[in-house]
Amino acid sequence: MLKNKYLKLAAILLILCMVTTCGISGTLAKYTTGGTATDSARVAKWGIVLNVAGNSAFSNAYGETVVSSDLNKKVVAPGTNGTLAEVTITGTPEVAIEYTVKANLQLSGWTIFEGGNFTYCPLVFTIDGTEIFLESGQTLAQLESELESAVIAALMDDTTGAASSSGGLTKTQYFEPGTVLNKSLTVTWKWDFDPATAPAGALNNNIRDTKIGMLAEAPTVSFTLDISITQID
Amino acid sequence: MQTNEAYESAVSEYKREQRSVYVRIMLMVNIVFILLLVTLGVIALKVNNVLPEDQDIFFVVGKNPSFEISDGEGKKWESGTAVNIFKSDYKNGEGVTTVVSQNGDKVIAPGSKSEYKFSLYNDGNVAVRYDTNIGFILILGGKENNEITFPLKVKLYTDSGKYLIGSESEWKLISDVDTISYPSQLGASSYESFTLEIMWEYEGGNDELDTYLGNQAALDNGKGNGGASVSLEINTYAEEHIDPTAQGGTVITEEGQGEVEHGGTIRWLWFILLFINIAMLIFYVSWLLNKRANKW
Repeated sequence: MLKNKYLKLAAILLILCMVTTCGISGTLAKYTTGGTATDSARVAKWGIVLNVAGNSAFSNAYGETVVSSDLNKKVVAPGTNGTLAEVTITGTPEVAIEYTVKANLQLSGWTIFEGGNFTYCPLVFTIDGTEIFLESGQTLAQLESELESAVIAALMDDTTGAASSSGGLTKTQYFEPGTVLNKSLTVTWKWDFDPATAPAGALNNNIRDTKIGMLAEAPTVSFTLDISITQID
Repeated sequence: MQTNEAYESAVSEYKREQRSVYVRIMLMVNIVFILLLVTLGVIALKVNNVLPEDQDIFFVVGKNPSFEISDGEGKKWESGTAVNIFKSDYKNGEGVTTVVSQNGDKVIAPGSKSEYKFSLYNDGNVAVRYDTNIGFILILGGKENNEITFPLKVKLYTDSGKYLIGSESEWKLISDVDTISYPSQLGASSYESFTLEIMWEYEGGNDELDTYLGNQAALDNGKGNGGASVSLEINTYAEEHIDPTAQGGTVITEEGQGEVEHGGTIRWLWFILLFINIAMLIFYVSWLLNKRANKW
């Protein structure tokens, strides 16, 4: 009887083993899953339009009345005029910016002899309708500084913080993202042919014009306007 | 008397020979049965790896896979889930806001940098292997553009410091990693946390391109003219690992929780039953043959 019980137990266990093995016949299903995250953005707007014209401020000929003896050199003379710079700045950048303006007027050799050295510069500069010229007792450096300051003030509202050096007057401003830029400036120059048409207080007269034109070394004038607008980090 | 003794002697001798033969047969049969059972056991072990989900056959642990992805804001990834990788404004290293969207749109600009965190959770009892890839699209003037190399750079790394894209000192250009798959694995009851860093380098060496893109953005009039935008996608595809006990990631430990019982593995009870089966079969066959031999 005991042997029969063992026999039955063995048989049951064997059947269980075989059934389980047969039962493991599932499909070859394999778990898969996944996920996707997505985002998009547009590039922040720059859109600053900076137009600066002025490379033709002076010329080697003005019609047929004034022609340089050396066509590689530009000249100024009574009756000539030109535009030193025409500037427009527009845009509303979405980034912070550094805005720098550097104006540099250089006048050299404008000295005649009238009982001694006499500073004479008949050029009249006009900035947005305001005339700037050499007045009695004023030095060339002062005239240069006055014009440079006027340019800075026109493009940057004032000259606070501007730094002066031998290279001119420089001012830098920083603007937050979203600042609306809308600046414009026109700077012209002239040398009145008829002193009567020169601004009141100007030192123009024909004798002085002749003297300045007879100098062994001709006086010179140059104007540089640098404007840079850069995104800051 | 003499004849009977000779006969009985011959019979005994015959019986001894037969017993010897049957003993040998018994041994061979036992060996065959044991080999058969072992073979069945090995087959069972292999087949167990492809058990259907949740099928727990008493002494074979049923598989219970569970895998999901969610980000630092609690958003669960599904198909094309919108997340916040980009921002509408960015601050520089000194905390000064240097980029601001004027209409609340998400934007990107030179110098902008952000990071996006997400985690993979494997709450199941089987290991998974997964692939991660990043997709990128640049749209200029309303059309997809594949010619310009957009100056966006990325890094992708785990909280444990393992880098899938880039390294601690190296950023990868998005165009260099676009659609490349990065395989990895995650153990049962484990998680892995990731950080995706993106950056448009301020001094990227191509101011002209940066300015061009910014000006294109400014030209956008909403009618398909101008416009510059980017789209980033992170894809993760996971599947059951061939080895349910494979390791990877950080184990999720809960108080009172013991060691994970991996799906598809055979419990010790199976081996005990197998041993008992072998023992009982040996006993049974031996008993049968012994009984047979005794008849002789």
